[in-house]
Amino acid sequence: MRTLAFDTLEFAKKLKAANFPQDQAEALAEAVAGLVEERLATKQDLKELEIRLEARLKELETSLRRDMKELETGLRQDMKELETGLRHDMKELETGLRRDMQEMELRLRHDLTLRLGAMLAAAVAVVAALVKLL
Amino acid sequence: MRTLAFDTLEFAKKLKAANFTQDQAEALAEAIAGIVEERLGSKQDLKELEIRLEARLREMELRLRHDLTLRLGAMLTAAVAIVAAIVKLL
Repeated sequence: MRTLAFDTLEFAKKLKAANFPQDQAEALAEAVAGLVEERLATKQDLKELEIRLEARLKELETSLRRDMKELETGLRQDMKELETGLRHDMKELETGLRRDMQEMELRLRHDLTLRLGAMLAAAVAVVAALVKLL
Repeated sequence: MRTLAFDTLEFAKKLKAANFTQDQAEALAEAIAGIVEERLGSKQDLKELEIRLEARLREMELRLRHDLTLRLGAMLTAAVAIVAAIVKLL
């Protein structure tokens, strides 16, 4: 690839055709070839740079896309777990409340029965006393 | 645009001023011009490369931004749906 960047023979031939002496033409060709090969950026170098950067960009985009996908999957998973947890907590809360209400109903029923019984007994006693007096 | 990368006449004139013969100066100028035009990367080439890469970057940013918006939108919708379902349950 490198050797194709500059044709030393062709260069020297053109100079000799313009009456440069053989050694001057060759020295000049060598000197210019050295510059082109070692110092200067050729169009080929730029092309290669572009290809490398394109590949790097594509790679970057792919990895970003994959990261986004993973992030989304993780978040969806977390949301799912959060929902399940909340549902579970709500279920427990409901069960507890139902049990408390049941206990309260029993206590109230018990209390009410005693009070009503006592009042009924008192009423019967009062009626009996009145009947006896009249 | 291409012809501006190397001034053959100016180059040949400088050589002639240093006692190169007319045909030597012209041949050298032509030979160097050939290399500069065909082989070497010019400032113009760099500029064009930069423009292409800039465009490529912008395009990628747009695509990623678009993608991100869609994903975030979908997730937000899902979150709202979950909250709505929970509120209904209570």
